[in-house]
Amino acid sequence: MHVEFVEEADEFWSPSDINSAIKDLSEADICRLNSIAKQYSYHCSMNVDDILNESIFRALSEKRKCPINVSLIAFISQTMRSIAFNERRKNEKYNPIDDSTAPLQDKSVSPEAKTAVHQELNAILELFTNDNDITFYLMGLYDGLTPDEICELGEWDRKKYSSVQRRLRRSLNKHYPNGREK
Amino acid sequence: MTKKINSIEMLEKLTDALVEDIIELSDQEILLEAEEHFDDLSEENNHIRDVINSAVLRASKIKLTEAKKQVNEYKKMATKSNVISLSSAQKKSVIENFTTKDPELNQKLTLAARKGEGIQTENDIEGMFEDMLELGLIDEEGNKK
Repeated sequence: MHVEFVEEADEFWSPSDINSAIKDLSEADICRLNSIAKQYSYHCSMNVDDILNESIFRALSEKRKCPINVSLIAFISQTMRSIAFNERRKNEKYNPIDDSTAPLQDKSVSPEAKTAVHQELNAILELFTNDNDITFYLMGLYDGLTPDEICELGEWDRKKYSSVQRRLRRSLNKHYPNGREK
Repeated sequence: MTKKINSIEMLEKLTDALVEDIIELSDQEILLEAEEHFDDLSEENNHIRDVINSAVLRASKIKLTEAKKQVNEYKKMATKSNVISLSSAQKKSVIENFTTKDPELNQKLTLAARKGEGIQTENDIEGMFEDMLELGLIDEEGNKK
């Protein structure tokens, strides 16, 4: 689940507020941003530095407004999300050379990209064949279930849900220290 | 009812979930994780600060360029709006009065005219008049300063 921005908010951070907040980032904030950038870089073809640099640049460029009740970290994270998801989708757009059959095909994603995504999802699932909780969590996620639905179906409380999610992230980081292959 | 999602959306959901977990970590937990991950955390953090600072600098440079552009446009507009609407013939006469008193400049303009260059059209007159204004050679009424 990610932070959704409501652009209709009454008050927004000004660029100079954002600039000051960036200067005041703590060591923990820096580590958190680095860690978030890493997750998004695993998702697309951009490296950690580029995705972080671009998100800070966009945060300061006033193209995106940050509501006053949203933390700077959440705002930058949301900006990175937008960059990474667009980058991956842009790179996987299907542009057939022979356009005559195009209307019969799903043009949103190329067949190669679809296969690659399936392989990526299956490779992650296969890593946890011996871990019932993570497998259940992933199956729920892949089925589009919300956290509440996963908890209800698995008879988990939110503490268990968070601990499974954390175990999954740490295991993936250990298994793919340099990002997943796409 | 749960919406059926495609494979790219599944991957996006997974990334969202992993990021959500990072956001929920306490400061202490995130620092501990980072210390485990990096041999020299302070060096890594300095590098990340450099990445951030270069983005801040890039944004500042673009803002500065935009601000300069706006100031220049404003100055141009202000100069134009100050100019009393002299006719093209009057402006030409101001230019000629000015150039005849400068033999070197006059010679250059005559040579340019022979080559089909120089002050030929109304646009040339406007351009020359504005240049003279900007250089402070004349005032808005065409009087020599």
